[in-house]
This record gives sequence, structure tokens and C-alpha cells, in this order.
Amino acid sequence: MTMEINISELKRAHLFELAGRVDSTNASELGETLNRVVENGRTNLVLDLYGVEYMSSAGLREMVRVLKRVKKSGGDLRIANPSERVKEVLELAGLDTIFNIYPTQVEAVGSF
Amino acid sequence: MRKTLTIAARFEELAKITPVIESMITAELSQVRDQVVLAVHELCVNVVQHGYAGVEGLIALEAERQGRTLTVSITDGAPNAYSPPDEIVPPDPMMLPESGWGIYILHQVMDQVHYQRLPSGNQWILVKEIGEELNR
Repeated sequence: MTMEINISELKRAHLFELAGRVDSTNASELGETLNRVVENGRTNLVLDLYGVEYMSSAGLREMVRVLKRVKKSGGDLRIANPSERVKEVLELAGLDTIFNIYPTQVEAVGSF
Repeated sequence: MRKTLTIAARFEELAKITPVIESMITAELSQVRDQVVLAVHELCVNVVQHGYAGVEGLIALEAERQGRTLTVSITDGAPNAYSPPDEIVPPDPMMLPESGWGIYILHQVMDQVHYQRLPSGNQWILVKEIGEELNR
């Protein structure tokens, strides 16, 4: 399964719903999608990772890059509803303490 | 049980590794299976990116189960050697580094990671103790 990204422009934040595999073949597409929104001045971002069945370090790298960028502008990249597999990868990399992670989209978007 | 696979050293070829590794660990241990798949993929991404670094070549994978032990050997013919650090330290998340996650995850997941530079490339041996006997 390839990666799918669904984008919703909400009042408080941009919501990105990801599904499928995020790996070295398509992680840059994730970064480009997030960066396009940041370039338009939107720096409050929520990434819903419930539908992600596989996330490699290439995906983590893109997320970290965007997190650094939005934080410089006073924004944040927050994670909602990560799948068990994603949660484990974040923990293995030690990134679960860096990203703000919420159990639901509503809580993640509402946190801004 | 022993399986081998040889693929071109390209990112789009790496998906072929997944079924080979998955066939070595039963679905009941899906967490361990996913971890080993992730670890092998992370290593092969490094082989493509840093070993071959744009040069065409091959990656040979050999996976063998003996009882509870899974051994995965990954051999390449890449021109570039690796310099594995003596000690694996986690990337400092507070510094938000953009690299180093893959190899760190590899060491987190596998019980043993061995590297040697061969005359014609590189060889990595990864070992994982699986909590089940293989009865197939």
C-alpha cells in the first residue's frame, strides 16, 4: 500500500490524515506536503497517524524537519491517534518525548 | 529454514525484503516480526544511501532460522565502507537531529549487530532471538 494524505484546513490547525506506508520511497512527499502548508504561513499542524501501517526513519526525519521549522515560527507539529506500529517506532527512536501526542484528532486540534 | 534474496540496490526494490523476513517469524509474533522487518529495511536504506551512494549494485540477503535464533546476513558490493561507532548512543531528541535514527533503531531492535568490510563490499550480520521455536 502506498501513502495517502488527506488534508483539512481547520480554524485552529491544518489536519493531515496519513494512511499506508511511509518509507524511503515516499517520505519526501510527506515533507513536501507539510512544507507547502508551512510556506503559506500555517504553522499549527496536526498529523493523524492512525492509518499508518509502517513508518521508517525516513518518515521520522521528515517529521523532525518540519517540527524544527514550525517551532521557529511559534507553531507546532502535533501527532494524533498514532497506530501501535507508529507509536513503537517513535518510542524506539526516543521521539515520543519530543512530539506532543494526543489520543484523538479532536484533542490534538483542540490543543492549539 | 534458510532463504536468500538478491535485489538491486534501489529504494523501490527494498519492499521485496519484507515477505522473506515475515516468512521466518509466525504471525502470532507480529510485533517482533515488524521490528525485524523495520531493522533490515533501515540497514538496507543505509546501504543504498551511503554504501552505494548513487552507484548501481546489488544487495544479497540471507535469512536463516535455527531454533529460536534468526540470523540475517546482508552483503553488498558497495564502494564505500562504514565506520560503525564503538558505542551506539541515541540521537539526542532535544537537538532534533535529522539523521542517525535508522541505525539507532536497528541496534535497539536486534540482539546482535556485526559489521565487516569485505574486499568487495560490506557485510552485516544481524541476530534476533525469537520467543518461539520454528515448527515448519
